[in-house]
Amino acid sequence: MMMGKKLVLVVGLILAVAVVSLSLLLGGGITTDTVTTQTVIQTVTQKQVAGTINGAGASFLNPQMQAWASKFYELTKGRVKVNYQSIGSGAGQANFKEGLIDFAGSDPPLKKEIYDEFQGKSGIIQFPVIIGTIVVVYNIPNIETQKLRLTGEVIAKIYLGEIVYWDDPLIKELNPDLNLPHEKIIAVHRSDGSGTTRVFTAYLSKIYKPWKEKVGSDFTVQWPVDQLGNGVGAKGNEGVAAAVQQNLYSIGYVETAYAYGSGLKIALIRNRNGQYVIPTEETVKSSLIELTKILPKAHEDWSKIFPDETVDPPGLKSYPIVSFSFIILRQDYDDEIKVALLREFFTWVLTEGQKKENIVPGYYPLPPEVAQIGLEGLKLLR
Amino acid sequence: MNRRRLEEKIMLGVISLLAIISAIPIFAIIINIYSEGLKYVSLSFLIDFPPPPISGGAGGIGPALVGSLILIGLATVIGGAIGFFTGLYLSEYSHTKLAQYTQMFLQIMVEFPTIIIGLFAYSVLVAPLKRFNAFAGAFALSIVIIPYIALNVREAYKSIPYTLKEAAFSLGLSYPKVYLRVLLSTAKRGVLTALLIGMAKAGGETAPLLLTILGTTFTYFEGLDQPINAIPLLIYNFALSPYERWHQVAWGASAVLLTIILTIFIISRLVVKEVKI
Repeated sequence: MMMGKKLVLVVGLILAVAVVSLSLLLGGGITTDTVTTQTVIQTVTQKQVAGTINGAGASFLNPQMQAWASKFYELTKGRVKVNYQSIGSGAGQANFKEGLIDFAGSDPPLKKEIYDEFQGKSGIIQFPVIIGTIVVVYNIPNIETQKLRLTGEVIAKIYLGEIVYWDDPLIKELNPDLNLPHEKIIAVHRSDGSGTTRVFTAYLSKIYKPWKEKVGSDFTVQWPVDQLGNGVGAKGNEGVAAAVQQNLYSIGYVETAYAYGSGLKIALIRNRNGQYVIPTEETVKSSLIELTKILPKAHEDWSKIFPDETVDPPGLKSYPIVSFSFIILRQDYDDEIKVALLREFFTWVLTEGQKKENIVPGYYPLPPEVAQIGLEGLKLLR
Repeated sequence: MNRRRLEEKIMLGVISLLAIISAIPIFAIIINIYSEGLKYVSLSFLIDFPPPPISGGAGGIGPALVGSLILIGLATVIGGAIGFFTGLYLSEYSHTKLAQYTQMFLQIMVEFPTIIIGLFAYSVLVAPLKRFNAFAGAFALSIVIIPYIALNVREAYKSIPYTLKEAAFSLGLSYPKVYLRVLLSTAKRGVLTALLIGMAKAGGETAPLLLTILGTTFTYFEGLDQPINAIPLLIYNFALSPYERWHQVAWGASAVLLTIILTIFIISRLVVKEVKI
């Protein structure tokens, strides 16, 4: 009796192990095949290498990255495959730190702790690849898009819960021509950790001191408006966009592409010079003129400058909430093919990739001086 | 007497109505997914790479479809092998303490949040290997489906009349012969159903894949130690985007996924039709 019991167990175990190792072997065989094809192509085209680079991170960057990756796949006839997955800036930075991906995409630059950790080890290269803007969106039935005027201070007071109704004197003062309803403002914000929130709250902190003292700026913050019951949290840009669409008399902040994508109404925001602006090529260009002078180099720590120093820039027509999206690389890779692929792809992104035909609507290309930061940085790659 | 009849009728009516109501969502889902998604499905949709958000062609779900099939296959092989023998043990040695505890744990595992299983696979197979990889995804999926397969295999073996077993043993057959030849031929429909249920489960799961396989855009399969894509993961990513074209791909992918799952279920129904002894 005992023999039989054991036998069944042993047979079961052996079978399971055999099946697992067989399937592993199968996969292993196919991997070797890919490697050989890669080397073949390598010798044929000499200097050019073929292969896949894996990146992940900011969801904001994702549409633009897919457009670039797809174009580059076509240009290189499938030789360079850039695989970018949208998992969020925070997760992208964490995975990069663990060495799970070849490059990270992130709305804010690398956190100080992670940057320091890499110093003296494999080093860091980080540079902006594209410019985005954050817009304030609203849902008031009788007010058209680009009609509502707001200031950073008023937005801060709404999210602080100090302004409760749409017909508050402070809002009326900015919008004497609008028929503002006596309705409670539903303030929608991100519930997940987000680079968008980090930049948006950096803007509010810079423009309105009490915000800085009471709330501050981070990937997630304690929203005072929530305690009054007038706040709504939503996941992702798409979540905020949907929440604003579904809730009458709400306000929210999203990346511009999401506002256009879902047809939300966009508020005019007052800049430093008293002009009411929305993001356009002109207003974004104006924002960048002064900004480019204070930007660090690719191997330096960006966390102090961005976004706290870069929001609300000077310039007559400047749009105040401008944001960069970063690519983060190590300086050292133990794989030569990866280095060549990364260099080739990102050099293209920073040059040809910035041309109008390669930019997805809702994003803005880098000025040449800013693209230069990345091109210089890529020289450190080895 | 009349009143009792009436009560019975009302009761039956109410219960039937509730039964119909509970079945409505499945039809609503099927109709909704197919009416929204089927129009985007074509041969090239099944083969092509996912498209960029604006310019370029219509694109497809090639890497995700191939990835899903590989993951389903691998998870069913791993989970099937372990689940089958576990189920066999649970049925034939149900009196042992080990079997009783195992069964209890499997019943808990059925209710386990699958995202936690994904996190586990991440910590043992992604973080140490320093790479998102297909095997970690298949591993997570097989853990998800093992309890389903094991418990269903157990039912299949339990349903075999004791007399058949007795007869087999009385012929002097060895244990493996009895369990894997004589009894399996009787229980095979049940076992096959168990495997098919596991397959369908593996095909539809998203959470275990979020933390393990990363996803791919231009590669179908580059080895088990490399990232791979899957249809549920693609739907999750594309449905949340602000772009109409990606929404269309997500709808099309949903229709494909639903077809895969429904096919598996229809096969399992056909298999189960009648058990002959």
